[in-house]
Amino acid sequence: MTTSKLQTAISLMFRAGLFFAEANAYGASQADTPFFIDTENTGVFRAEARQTRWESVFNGIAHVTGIRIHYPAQTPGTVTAVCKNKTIPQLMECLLGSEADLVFRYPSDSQQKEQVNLPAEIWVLNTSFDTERITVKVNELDRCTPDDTPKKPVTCGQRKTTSTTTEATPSIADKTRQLLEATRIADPVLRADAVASLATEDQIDDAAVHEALATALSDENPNVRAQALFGLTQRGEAGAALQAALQDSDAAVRLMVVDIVENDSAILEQALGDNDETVRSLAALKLKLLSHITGSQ
Amino acid sequence: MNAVSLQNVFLTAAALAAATYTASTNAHDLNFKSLGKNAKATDTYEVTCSTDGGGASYKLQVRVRDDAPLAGPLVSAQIIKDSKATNTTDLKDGDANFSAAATLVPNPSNPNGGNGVYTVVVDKTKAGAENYSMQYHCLSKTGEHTGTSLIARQNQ
Repeated sequence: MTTSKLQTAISLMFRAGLFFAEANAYGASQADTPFFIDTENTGVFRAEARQTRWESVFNGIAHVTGIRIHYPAQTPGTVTAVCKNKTIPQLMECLLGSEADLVFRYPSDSQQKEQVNLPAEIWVLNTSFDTERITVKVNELDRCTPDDTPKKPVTCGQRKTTSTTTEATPSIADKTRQLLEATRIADPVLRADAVASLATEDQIDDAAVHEALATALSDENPNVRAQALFGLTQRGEAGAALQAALQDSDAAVRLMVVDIVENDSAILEQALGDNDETVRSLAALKLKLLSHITGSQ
Repeated sequence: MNAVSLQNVFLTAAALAAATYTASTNAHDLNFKSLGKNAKATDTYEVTCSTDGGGASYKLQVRVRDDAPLAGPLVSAQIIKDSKATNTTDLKDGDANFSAAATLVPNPSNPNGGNGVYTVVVDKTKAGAENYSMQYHCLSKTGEHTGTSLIARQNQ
């Protein structure tokens, strides 16, 4: 598909309201505002976000452009921005700020010449999402050079930018408190992310963290329960929770149990009788490995 | 079918699945991990390459294997360091072979420039739970193994 055809398709989707529906489908909660991306039929991408979660922004761009975007699991902040850019790399830089570390992979085939502005994949690296960041940017394209190199995010010449940024680096205590609060919010995706973060981030309130993870074991969402198991295991506190979770009604939780277990042949043998094929297969593979290790000792 | 005979069927099927693979206990093999059914389920690891008896690191090499059961998604691994990234995908599900190697050389002009932390991301092409294994090796310019360690950062 050429760039112009793609942009026409994007425009039609936008006019038909299709993207709005998809934005909600990507998990925009009541507290989240849908993210819009549009083309003005002039080869320009226009994105608008109002206190929108980063996940919704990335999923929105991925949905409309077909680009696969890899971003950190924990992106608790929001963005408010209006960006008009000629290329997706420029649009990403506008949304994330010039300090963002972005990697773009382009298709190797010759058709890329017609889609010079469209990467196949984007990695968002080393970008801080752990602050409540309010950024307002309005970019004008008037002074952009026409031949910006697409493989490297560039700042358009004398691009006009009005930017208001409120950003504070939280202490470990603040961060832990924010994560603990996030384990109680309504959105299960954010809840699971918060629970997962509690396992891997530095914390100072061990008792509160353990309590939050233990509480999350009985969360109504299976992904939250699975992340709680992972978190407790990372902290060496899973104990009997693994055995109990093997009886969970959702295969995602049982799969996490088998994924986590390395040497507990009793749990692995029990999982051989699971009604989910992936759980059974993983248990069998791990048991074989375990017997191989035991036999060689 | 009662519960006992059903379990026997499961055991047989699982044993057949396991028989396909050669279990490896190499220190730099990550054996039999899983990705959840969500299409965007992603496991993330930090691999640290360092200097040891094999010398200083020049590159990180990763292969991934899409393990049983046979399922729709293909499993991929990406290596990311600084502003560079590379990818490998196991194009055949359920066989004993790993994918082609993905190799990331952070600093080609420096034979000792590969020490440091790499991010390795394992994901899949679409919805559906998958199991996988991964091999990861820090290597010197001459292909000797160098110091290699791995930490799981995300398990989905």
